[in-house]
Amino acid sequence: MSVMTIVQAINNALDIKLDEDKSVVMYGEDSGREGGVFRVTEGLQKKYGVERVFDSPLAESAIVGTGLGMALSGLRPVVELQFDGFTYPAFNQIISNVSRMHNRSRGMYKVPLVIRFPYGGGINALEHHSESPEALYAHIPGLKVVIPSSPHDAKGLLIAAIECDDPVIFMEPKRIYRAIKQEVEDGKFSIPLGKAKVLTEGTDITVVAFGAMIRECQKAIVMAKEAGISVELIDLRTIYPIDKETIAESIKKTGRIVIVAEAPESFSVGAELMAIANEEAFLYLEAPPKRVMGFDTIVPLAKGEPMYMITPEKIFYEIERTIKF
Amino acid sequence: MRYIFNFPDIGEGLEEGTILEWYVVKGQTIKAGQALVNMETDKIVTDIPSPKAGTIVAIYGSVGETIRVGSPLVEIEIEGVFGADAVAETKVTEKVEPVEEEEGAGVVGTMELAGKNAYLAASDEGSSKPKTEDKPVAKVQATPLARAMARDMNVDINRIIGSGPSGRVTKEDIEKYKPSQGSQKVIGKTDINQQPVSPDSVTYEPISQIRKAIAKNMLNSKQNTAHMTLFEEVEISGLMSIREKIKTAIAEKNIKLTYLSFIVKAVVLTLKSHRQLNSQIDLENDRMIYKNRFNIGIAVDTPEGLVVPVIKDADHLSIIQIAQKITELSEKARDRKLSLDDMKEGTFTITNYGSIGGIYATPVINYPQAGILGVGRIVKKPVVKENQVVAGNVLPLSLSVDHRIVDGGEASRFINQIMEYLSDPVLMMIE
Repeated sequence: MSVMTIVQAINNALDIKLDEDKSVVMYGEDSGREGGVFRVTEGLQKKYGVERVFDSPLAESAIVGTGLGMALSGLRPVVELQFDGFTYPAFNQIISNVSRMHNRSRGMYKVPLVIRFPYGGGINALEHHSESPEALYAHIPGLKVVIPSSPHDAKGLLIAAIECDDPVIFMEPKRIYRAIKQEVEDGKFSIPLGKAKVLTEGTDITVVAFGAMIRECQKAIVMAKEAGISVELIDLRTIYPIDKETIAESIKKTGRIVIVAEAPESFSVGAELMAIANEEAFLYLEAPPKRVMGFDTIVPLAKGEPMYMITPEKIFYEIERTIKF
Repeated sequence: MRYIFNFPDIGEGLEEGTILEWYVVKGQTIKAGQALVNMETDKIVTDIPSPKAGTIVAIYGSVGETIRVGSPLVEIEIEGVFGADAVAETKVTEKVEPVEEEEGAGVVGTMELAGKNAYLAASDEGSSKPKTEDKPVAKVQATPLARAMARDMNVDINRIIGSGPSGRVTKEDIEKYKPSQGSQKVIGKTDINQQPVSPDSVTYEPISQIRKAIAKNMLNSKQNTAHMTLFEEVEISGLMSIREKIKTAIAEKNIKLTYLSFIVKAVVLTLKSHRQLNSQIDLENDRMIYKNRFNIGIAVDTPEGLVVPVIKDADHLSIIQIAQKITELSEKARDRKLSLDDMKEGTFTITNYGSIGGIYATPVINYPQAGILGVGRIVKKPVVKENQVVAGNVLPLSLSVDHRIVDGGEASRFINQIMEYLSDPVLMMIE
């Protein structure tokens, strides 16, 4: 076991896969020599050489497009896009080619490509550095979308993503990149994609969240506990394919669900979770499913951001309201 | 003047950096702004320039070493300046502990850094997780409409057996459900104590500390022990005549020789051979705690409420001494002069409600003790002596024990021996 931040855990996962599998390559803007804007890939170029870990031009469409080509030709590329808001130039490549090449080739080709990028707000940055576009990618058939919330999960999920034969959008909660540490197993392990994790068992209400919001939910749970409310916290871990079973089972037990995410509320992962609650656990609901999510606006600049961000108090408020419904 | 240059926070909320290369050596003369060292941080690799001109007299840290922000990097001898100015600048930052959740501001926003308490527990992934033992009550299936109806009718929907698909509770099931069917849990806040009352019909008064303590102790005892009470009667004409004799003998000593003094003596003597009654159970550690001291608590009724002063080491006291002690403690109790010490360390308790009038009672054990003896009022009653019905003086006794510790047989043997002492008090005099 070694104590790691999420940044170190991702670096460790990449290190393990680069070492063990010669078909793994890794590149992005400043990802090679500098180790990326957040230093996630630091030291990897030195260790594996410029042939396998390198800097790309400032052209996201090209980064993803070449990644697709490499994946089709037998490599397992991991590409890094610098920010959530910088993924949009690559959108066409992702939707038109990456997500559907398996289908388009009638199953002849697979696309083992991982597209990594940091996402989410709460760091006083610019608006296109603070977005949570998971719903955009989860909506595209053919993509898997993964978001870890801890160093352990970041390592295990990234290794699983690299080993997956389908394209994976791997979104990293930058707000907690270095904000939490955890003892993480040394060596290789993976966490299956598509499986949510029950982080805290409870009986009164189910709270579903992912990424940086897990930590906020855990703070809210402390408040709930003081108020005598037993919360079951589920970390989604994989946004798509979404783990309907774990969520439905929990709602059947508690009868209540609150969903916490940073993205704008409308047409969101939160909306999907409410649909699951209705479709899979309708006859068990004691209160209407509730979302604690971002406003339907662009993430404000630093000064206004605290009004946008989800706090433990907001989460607890909705937990209490749902309990008292 | 010596100037110690500490590794500065170079504007990005750094915690530490690693020395990649030294550009200067000891003894070298440097200009202000000249690069001293090449440092690698979480975010960048950068040269750290010297803030002053002078001569390097010491270098801290070698290549590869990690230096915390605020720790010394170099010491510079600045020419032409003398005095203590140098030291002042260094004091502030020496051995700076990193602040929790120190923030770093960079071009891409503020990154929160893991502070000392930002550790997540290691993942339990893969380990077989013990399922929570107390399974919640299974929820019935029902539409939100049916749930709302049940709630309006104050019916616990989980108690209704549904007739719909897969046992779903339907609208009709709720309409047909009669509250008389089985025990029905009323939901909602309709507790009778919560009903509003007109302000004239009751008077509210704050609870005294002593009442609070009594309430807490009584509830604690009733909830945490297995109470069992035995009732007995003992004929004490013999004791009465002995008491009369001694009373006259010690009349001038101003000692109130009550029956209680004899009962305390009888109890103490009996406890000596029945140590279960002078013990407590310690389930947490799977053991019994037998008390080697015989400290008898006496329940005393005061205007403020019940208090229980303790006669310490009653086994070392004569009946007269016990009587003195009882008088002393009762007076203290009524004057509210009992100290905490007077009420501590009791191992068994006697409650003498008979002095007020009761005959039998089910005394509440003074937790965590194993038993309590209730003493009722002496009544004149016909008793059979040598096949003759005669008028007897009967003392009713009520013994409550904690059945977790004391079984019925032991409790009976205990009270039998007390009765023997009381009916034939000479036995206690010779012990």
